[in-house]
Amino acid sequence: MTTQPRGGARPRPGTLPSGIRARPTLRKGHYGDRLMPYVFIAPFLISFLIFFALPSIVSIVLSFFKYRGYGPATFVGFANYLSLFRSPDFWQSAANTAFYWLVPMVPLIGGAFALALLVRSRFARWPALFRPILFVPQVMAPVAAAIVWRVLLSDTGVLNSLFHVELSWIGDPALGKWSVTLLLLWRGIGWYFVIFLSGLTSVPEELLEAAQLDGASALQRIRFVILPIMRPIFLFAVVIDTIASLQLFTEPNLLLGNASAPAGAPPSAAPIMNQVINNIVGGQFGLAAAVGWLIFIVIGIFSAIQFRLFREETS
Amino acid sequence: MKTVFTRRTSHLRKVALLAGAAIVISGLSACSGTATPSTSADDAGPFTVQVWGDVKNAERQFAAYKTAFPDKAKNQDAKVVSAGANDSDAVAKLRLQLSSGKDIPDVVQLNYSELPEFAESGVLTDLAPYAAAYVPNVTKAAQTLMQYGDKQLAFPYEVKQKLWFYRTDMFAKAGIDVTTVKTQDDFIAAGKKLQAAFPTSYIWNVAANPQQYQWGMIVSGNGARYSTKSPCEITVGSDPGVAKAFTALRDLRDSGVVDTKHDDFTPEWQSGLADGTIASTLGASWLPSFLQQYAPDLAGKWGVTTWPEIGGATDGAGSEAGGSIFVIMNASKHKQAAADFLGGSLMTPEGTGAFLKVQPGYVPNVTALLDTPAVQDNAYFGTSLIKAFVASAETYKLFPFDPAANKQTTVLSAQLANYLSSSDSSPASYLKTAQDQLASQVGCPFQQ
Repeated sequence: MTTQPRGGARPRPGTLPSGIRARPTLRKGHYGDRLMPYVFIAPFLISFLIFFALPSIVSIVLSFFKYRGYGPATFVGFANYLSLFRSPDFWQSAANTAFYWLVPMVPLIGGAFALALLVRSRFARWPALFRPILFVPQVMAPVAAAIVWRVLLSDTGVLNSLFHVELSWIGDPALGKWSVTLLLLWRGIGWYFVIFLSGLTSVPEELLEAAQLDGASALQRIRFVILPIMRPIFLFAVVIDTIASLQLFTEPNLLLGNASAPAGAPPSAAPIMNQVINNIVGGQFGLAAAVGWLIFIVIGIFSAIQFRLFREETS
Repeated sequence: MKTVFTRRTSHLRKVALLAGAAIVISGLSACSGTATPSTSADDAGPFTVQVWGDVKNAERQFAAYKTAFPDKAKNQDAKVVSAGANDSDAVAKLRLQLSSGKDIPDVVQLNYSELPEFAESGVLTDLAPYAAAYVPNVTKAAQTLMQYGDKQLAFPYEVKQKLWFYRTDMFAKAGIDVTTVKTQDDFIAAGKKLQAAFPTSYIWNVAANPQQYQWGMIVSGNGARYSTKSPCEITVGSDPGVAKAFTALRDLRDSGVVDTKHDDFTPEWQSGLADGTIASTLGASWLPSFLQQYAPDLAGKWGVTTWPEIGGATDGAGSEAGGSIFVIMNASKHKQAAADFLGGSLMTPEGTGAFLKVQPGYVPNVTALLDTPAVQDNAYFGTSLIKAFVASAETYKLFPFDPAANKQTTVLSAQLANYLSSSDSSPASYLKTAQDQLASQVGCPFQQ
């Protein structure tokens, strides 16, 4: 006697004729397959947790404490953040950082792009020579570069001799930031030049030829063909420049600093990172952590704005 | 299914983050980072001496101690480590060591300005039982350097007295007698005489962002203080001594006799000391070794005397960061050996005499050695160095540093630079800014 399904209907796949649902069985090695990706990313995950995630959590919690670096830590709530917002010193270094970000940006990115266009144009001879020459400042150690520029900008240095002036590029508070800007331009232009040069290779030659045949001038080809295609490259360059500028520390302090302070740039030229270093040296670890997180938030906000602006223009 | 999974994962993430934060908070609240003080006799093994800069000086110091006290030092050994290039590095490293409780050295070199922080934290050994026998051997200035409040917490290494270094040949030609230069006005008048004879020379240099020690030396002798203990509060905004130091530097820069473009330890400053552009400098007792390095051909042409009154610090009173000291950490398991080494090498005629032989140029704190020919007649400065040293010891004064001295100096430095580059005649608004910032960020410096 065979078992008939109720009502004479055919049994559904995976079920017994009596209508009882069969228990699904696992394929051999299924757990191993699911585990393997995690094994491969485990080294990264572990180092990310130990060297980034956990210290970040400690840092953000520390920003709500008053802590000397050892001994007891006293909870102070938002007092560290409020005292920073009330400190003219903090706003002065924030203004200096904004200067280092905005003033060099156009000559740096615009200049690097113009150089890249020039090197790829028919006017440039031996284009392969320009890449290493322009990139050398980027490869040079920041300390060495700052020492060299201190000599170049000294009272009897090259700049004063060339232009027959007697400006105190290092000692004059009004000129200090401009001296740092010159150094930043000299060091940075090669880096962005290489990026834009690589980006220009992604512009199809046929498009440029077609535009030329349609009567577009060189400037029109740059504006209507090259720039739109290179928008992601520009976004990358602007975001990287923003992050680097907001985290600037080495150049102002090495070029303008004095011997008796670790972050020795004068207040007229000190970047915001000096607030972190000075607070660590002064045994104010909670304040230093608070400054660090404010910088992080500002970088995040500006990066998000830049991504949105570039994306809106594209759409 | 997907929405429930996302909600559950998001909830789990929040719980994990909160748990992590709770663990961190409890860790921060509970941690003391200080080891239990040792009360037993010294452990076997070498004791660690942590210095800043080159370790050779301390190694020579220990070698000299072993030569002078072969029996006492027979079973003693020292390991000298460098904490970094300068005292800021040394303090940063010590804080990390105290935080972790690991590798805390037995002996640490500090500047006196950094002593209050560690003294108030209770991590230093009271040296009264170890140093009492040595104290009568040293100068009053060195004895002062050992004290913090009513406790002896430091062995004196280098008393950093204020000294005025000047070009004897240039001053003679300009008709300047340094013994008649007593006040700031006299100093400016002497500068004008100098420029009458040498139009491109200056009597000092004060840059737009002066070195912290330059104005630190002024406030150390004019009665200034940055805080009070009772009531516990910051006082820089209303302290007359700090205001006087600010205006003194402003007046000197405006006088025309002071180089306002070049800071200390810049190539221009170094060459200026060598070529006469900077014909004198108001410095401290550590300058001789640098001067000899920058201007080796000018041996015999540099003289030394005491400061005139600058910024209200009469008779050149004060010091530079107090001086350089050695402290013994509470966590040390070699207190006796460390104290024997420090006391023997720095506070006894035999030990310090042996150290002088291997470290020429070191000015001893031991009174009995001040008359020895090696100390009396310096190859570069002649007898003027030790005479000035002894004279300035009479007006040696320690600034009343508190545990937040580093932070206070940084904030005041920034406001001084802002004041000097402004056209304001009064520093009041800048001192108020410093006051508000320190009151907000430091509060009571004697409380953690």
